[in-house]
Amino acid sequence: METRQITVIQAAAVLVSTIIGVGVLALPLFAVRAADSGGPLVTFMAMLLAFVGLSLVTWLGMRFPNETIIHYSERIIGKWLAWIGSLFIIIFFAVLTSLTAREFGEVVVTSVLKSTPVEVTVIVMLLLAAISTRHGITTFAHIHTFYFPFLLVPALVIAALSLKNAEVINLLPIWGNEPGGMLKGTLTIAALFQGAFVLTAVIPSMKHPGKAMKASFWGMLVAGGLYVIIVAATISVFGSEEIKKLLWPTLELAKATSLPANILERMDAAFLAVWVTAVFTTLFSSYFFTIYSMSHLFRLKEHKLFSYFILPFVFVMAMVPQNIIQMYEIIENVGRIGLIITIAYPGLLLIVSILRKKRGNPVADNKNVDQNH
Amino acid sequence: MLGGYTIGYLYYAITLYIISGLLIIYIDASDLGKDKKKKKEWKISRFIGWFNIAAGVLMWVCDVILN
Repeated sequence: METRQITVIQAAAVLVSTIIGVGVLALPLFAVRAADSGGPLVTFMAMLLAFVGLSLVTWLGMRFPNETIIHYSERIIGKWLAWIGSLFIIIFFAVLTSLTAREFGEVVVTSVLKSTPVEVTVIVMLLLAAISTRHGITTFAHIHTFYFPFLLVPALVIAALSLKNAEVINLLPIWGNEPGGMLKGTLTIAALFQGAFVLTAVIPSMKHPGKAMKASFWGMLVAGGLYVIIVAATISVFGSEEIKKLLWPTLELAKATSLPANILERMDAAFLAVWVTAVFTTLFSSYFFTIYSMSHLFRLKEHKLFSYFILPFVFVMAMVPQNIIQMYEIIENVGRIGLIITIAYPGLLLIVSILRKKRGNPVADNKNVDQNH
Repeated sequence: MLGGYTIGYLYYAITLYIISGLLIIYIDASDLGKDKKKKKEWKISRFIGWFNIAAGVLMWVCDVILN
């Protein structure tokens, strides 16, 4: 048993460090493919769409402040339908974990450890996540809160310093030259925010679940704001046509950025150090959410027994893409399908819960709750 | 082809299945076995531990037979 300990700030930190992750490297490429110079606008629209999804999840969580989505979905739509929905959620987050680990591995073996097998980098990261997820949700929130400033401050500094090479003309027209691809691009980029779904597991352990919407708003504003800034900075420095030829434009932006007085001539090494932390927190969240949801689905009091169990399965899934090109195709497709799970499904649950007047018990502040239930 | 040097992931997967199974049995199952309130968790941890070991051994045997 542990008390409700997670504060609004911690919940927002969980959201920010979960959202900012491996996808940040390819983000400007997704944005310019969708709308050329309209990349920042597409990213902003994706942020709004993701916020709509997160609001639905938060609203549901506030209606059922003592339960996770695995439990309250059973009360809303019935046990068997909810089981299917929960199974999809668990499989989706396991796949998300595997793709995050694989993308991390590909970046590391391409940019830093060129002679290391990608399998080793993937296993190391998964093992790190598996060991870290063995503790409770309060520890989970503490770890995210600890890393939060280490992610945010350097990323903002690099984006700000890169602006000395910026050309505002590269950002015009702000709606892009081919607005036709905006919808697809919005969905692709909104998929990068899907980790925020982890809030469904955090709300039942929040001190004040009634303030969860505040955490959602600030979490999405900070993470989405940073994404828009990174896309705007990258496009303004390189221009949209140049970015289309780059696999990881944000990494190139860090290479092209130097500290004043050339103290550091290029910042890619520093950026990669921050990025590894960002990937860890994202992977940590999706891995934790997968095993936490499994323990709730099977009504278990412990989730740690699944931490090593899913490790080989996630690893095998991570190795399925044959190369980087195929990996990004899978990531884009899985991401768009995931929007059904992370936005449409909670939306359906919310509508049914309102129609059927289903609602959880209100919570007293600092009431004792079981760590898993 | 995967980036970096690679020897295929089958042996990594076999190793991971067996080691994860052993870790579940020797760490989680033995830990949960001490708590009488967590009998269901203990049973499941033993099952999934042996499942992973069996999966790893089966993959290895299949690989030996096929090659």
